[in-house]
Amino acid sequence: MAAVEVSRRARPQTGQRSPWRERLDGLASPSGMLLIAALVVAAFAVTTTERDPDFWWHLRTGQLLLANHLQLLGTDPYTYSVPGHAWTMHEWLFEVCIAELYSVGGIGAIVLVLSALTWLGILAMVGRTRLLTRSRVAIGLGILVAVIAADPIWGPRDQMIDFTFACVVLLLVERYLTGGGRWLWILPPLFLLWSNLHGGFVIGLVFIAAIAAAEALGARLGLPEPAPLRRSGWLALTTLGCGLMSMVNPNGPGILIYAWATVASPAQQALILEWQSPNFQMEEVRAFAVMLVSLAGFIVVNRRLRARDLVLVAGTAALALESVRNIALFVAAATPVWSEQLAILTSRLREQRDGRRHRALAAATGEPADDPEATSRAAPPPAPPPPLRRGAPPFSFRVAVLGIVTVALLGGYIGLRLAPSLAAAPGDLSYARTYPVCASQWLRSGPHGLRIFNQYGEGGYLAWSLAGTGDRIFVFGDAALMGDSLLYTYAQVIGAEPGWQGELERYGTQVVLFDTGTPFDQVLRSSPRWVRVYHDPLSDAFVLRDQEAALRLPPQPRPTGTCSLLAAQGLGTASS
Amino acid sequence: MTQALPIAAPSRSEQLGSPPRGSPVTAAAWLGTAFCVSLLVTVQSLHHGDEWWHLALGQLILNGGIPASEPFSFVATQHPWVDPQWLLEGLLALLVKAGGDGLASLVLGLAGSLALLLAALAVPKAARVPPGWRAAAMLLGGVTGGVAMGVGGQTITALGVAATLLILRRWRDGSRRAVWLLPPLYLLWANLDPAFVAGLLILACTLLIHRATGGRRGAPAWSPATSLAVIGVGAAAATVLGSLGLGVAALVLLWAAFRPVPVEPGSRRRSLLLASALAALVTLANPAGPGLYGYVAETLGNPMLSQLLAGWQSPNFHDMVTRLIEIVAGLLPLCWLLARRVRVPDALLATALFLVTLQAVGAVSLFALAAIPQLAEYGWAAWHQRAPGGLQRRLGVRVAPPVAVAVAVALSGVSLAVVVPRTSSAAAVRFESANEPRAAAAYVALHFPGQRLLSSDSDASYLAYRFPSQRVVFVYDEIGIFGTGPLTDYHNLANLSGDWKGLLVTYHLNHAVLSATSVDAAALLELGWTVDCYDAASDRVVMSAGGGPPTASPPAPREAASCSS
Repeated sequence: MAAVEVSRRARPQTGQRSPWRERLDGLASPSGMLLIAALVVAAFAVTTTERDPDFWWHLRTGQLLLANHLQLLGTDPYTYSVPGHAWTMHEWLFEVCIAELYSVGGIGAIVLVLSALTWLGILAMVGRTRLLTRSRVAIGLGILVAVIAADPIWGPRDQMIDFTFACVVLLLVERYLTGGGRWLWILPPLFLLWSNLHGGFVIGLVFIAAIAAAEALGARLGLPEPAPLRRSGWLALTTLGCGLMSMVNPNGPGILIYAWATVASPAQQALILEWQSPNFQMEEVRAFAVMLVSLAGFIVVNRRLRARDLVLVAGTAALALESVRNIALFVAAATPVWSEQLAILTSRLREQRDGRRHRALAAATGEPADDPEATSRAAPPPAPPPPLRRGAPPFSFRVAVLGIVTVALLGGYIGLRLAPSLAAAPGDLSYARTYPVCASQWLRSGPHGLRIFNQYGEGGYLAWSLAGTGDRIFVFGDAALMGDSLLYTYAQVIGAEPGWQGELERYGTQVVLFDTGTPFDQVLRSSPRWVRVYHDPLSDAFVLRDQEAALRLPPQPRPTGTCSLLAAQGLGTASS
Repeated sequence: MTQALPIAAPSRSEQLGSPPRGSPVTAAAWLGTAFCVSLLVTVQSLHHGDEWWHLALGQLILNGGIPASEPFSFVATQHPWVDPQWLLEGLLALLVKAGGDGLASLVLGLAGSLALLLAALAVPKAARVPPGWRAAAMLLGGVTGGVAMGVGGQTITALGVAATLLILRRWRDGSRRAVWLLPPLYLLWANLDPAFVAGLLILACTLLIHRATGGRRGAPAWSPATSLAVIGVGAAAATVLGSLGLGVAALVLLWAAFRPVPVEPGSRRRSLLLASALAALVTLANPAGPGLYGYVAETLGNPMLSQLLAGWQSPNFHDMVTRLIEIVAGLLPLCWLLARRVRVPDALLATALFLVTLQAVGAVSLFALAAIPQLAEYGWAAWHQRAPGGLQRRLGVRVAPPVAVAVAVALSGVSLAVVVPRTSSAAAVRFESANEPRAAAAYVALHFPGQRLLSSDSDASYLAYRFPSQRVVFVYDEIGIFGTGPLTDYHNLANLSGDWKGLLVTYHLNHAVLSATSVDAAALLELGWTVDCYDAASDRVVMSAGGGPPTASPPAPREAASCSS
């Protein structure tokens, strides 16, 4: 009993507790558990099997770079349509990294690392949000909304590098603008790394420059909480430094032009699905509309927005409405603002409620009441709620509950999502329903050195799976390398527009491998000059009838293993 | 870190006083100029796919009354024939008969500009918005939403919605007579275009949003935080799980249930309720009676709607004109923010129509109409309160009425000089030849009279106009009548999916009018069809079945003989 008394006396007061205990205490509250649950849900969302059609050619390119002692390839080794085009390998470092990971742990290792990288981006987003608000409920809800809004984009893919780096850059910039310090010095080396990993680093430069300009302008216009002008100036200078550092890559300053050329390409913007505007008829993008409209609503009600947030939200919203892939950028830039605005709104509503109670009390006691509106507007930000409430369970109990909840959530995540995603092998049914796994097996079994006209989204997989056969494809996902002219030719052929067959002949196409049931597939099946030489639920292969004998292609194989499953079960709900 | 909410300083309007009232002549000059300039956008040629069959139907109505069954297609429709636009079709036919296509374009263009003008007038009288702001908002709204109007029902809908907004505004201003314009308006509108339902929905939402009584009675005792959370979560869930339209409905209904707003002083909810009920009742006075609502439900509930009609698809923001939606959608909250106030019904209306526009780009004209008075009112308030006084004085130069009139006449003259030539017969023929299979239709009339034709749904509309009594066309853009069966068949034929070859046989299709670059034309060539002629002006081909499958590559369709020769 005495020991207990001593222990109680020795317990430090609330204000004197260690920061770690404070944090643990906060996390062991219901709002803390909401935050943890949101982070686990985010991990669920960002961990999937490899769904990016471009992943495969990146992997193959990385393997070639490693074999080539990191010497850039100059031209692409995959196509017969543009073999002479100069290749700007803006993702060379990413490709090398995933090739190394593949050699260590297969696809699973890549999925693990890219999912973790994306999750770290979300963590950086949380870090930036915590600079704006301490409300764990608002932060947790913000993460949940963001995770649902960006659902079409998540997955282990190269674009997640842009997402994560954008989140980190915005975190560092916010930290510098609000607190000063030396955070800006991290940016140039960050851009050195980013510009070698992915060409999307340009958006980071745009973010920093826009923030610097907005802060300078916002200070003049009297917008709330402007950063000191000196810091905006340093930020502008840092943009310059980051721009210079980003030129330190194998492609030199041309990397900047490359990124702009992609955005300015009319063929890419018109023909490639992920560059198109979001289709709000589809349920997966409707959450983006909810996030956009609710954020606008919060801002209007709160009437408080910093210049940098205004520019980031408006700019990324416009980008996201233009191209569905940019929803990830919107989420990176706008989620902290969404959470902050929600926190302001809830705080304001709470103060209004307190004001009403105060007025009622004053009316009951006959004392004069203050103007609640003015009081609520003038009041300093509410202090975070005390970590220990009267009647709350003991600290140790709450920490135990926190531990159990966390372990249960992590267990669910690992068992239901992470492990299946890591275990999926490239030859599995889930991949065979999306990529021409069985058709490529058939092609590998036949004569090599073929010229294969393929579907745009499947070129990457064929480039990887037909490695070493000498087979060449028509098109794959590096649209800038393909060039607008070839993209339009591709569109002409698959639309069976006049002259389509002439184009196939002009390039010396020997085999057409295309998705079953598409209009172009139907045209070929209707044509007496083309003969179908291979068929599975995903793909059909055709050759010109008069070349069939000369090509000596293998006969339609009897499906085995994954391919027999595919034949039996079909495509399911997988999209081709 | 969350900082204190800003203390509201005395508003600039309070410091500067109310703006002085301008000259009525200058006001008329501003708005008149905006009206004439907006004609540049609203006067359009007959080019929307479904305008032609409406015109053809109008001619049939003038000659023999409303047809008892669907008159153009060889397909049996799944639903009873309803002609919800009989009056508009008759009027269009009369106009074309009197002055050609150009007159119809001009009259509908004037109606479109009138809609913009009515929207610009739908600002509170007490706000005393300068006419220049109204004119600017009208032009921005016109450019944004004008492209979605045309020589058809869309313009009528725009006019009806604008009139409804103006009546509601006057009701809020305290007018007791304005609401009684609703019944005759809806009687007319229900016979012109079935989208009058959009106007009824606006009226219903207005009634729902406003509290039934002046006190707190009827509103549940929820705290603001709880009620806002319920509204937000409910609307978000309905949007994500259902559709943007469902989300809008949930938003309005939940708001009405949890946070109804008081009626503005001087206006009476009961009079609006009675007038709206009467307006809804008189819509039944149409040739189809209550069946008109069944038609609307069939159309909206058809799953093929967004696949077949471009106006029901999400906007493509790569298009620069469509990007104006973003600009207006961004300007609205900015104006609300800077003006330091927004009325809840205004915010809900704009939000709802923005979400609907994201789902169906054809609603952009309605969004623009809702935005015009708000941009004018809140934009002016924001400027008046926030812009530096020196800037306001410099830019607030008063224009003398004669100068204003002279400028207005000059600008209007230039606009009319551009618009009027567009309405000439020669221009109409040129436009028709370039955009519709005019020569191909002439070839078909000569060589394959009475034969069934495979074509796109928009070309079918034109072919119905050209062959109004022969039942030669397949499916055109009358979704609510055909039903999912024929529409699915059409979809399979257009996309070469399903048993599309079997459908050619089932429907006895041996002739086609198709785009020379379409995948259908390529597929039919591979099946052994031949190109009879090529219409170079519209890039269409006339094709016929027959002949054996080609042993070599079929000749390019564009190398066939001209349809005009």
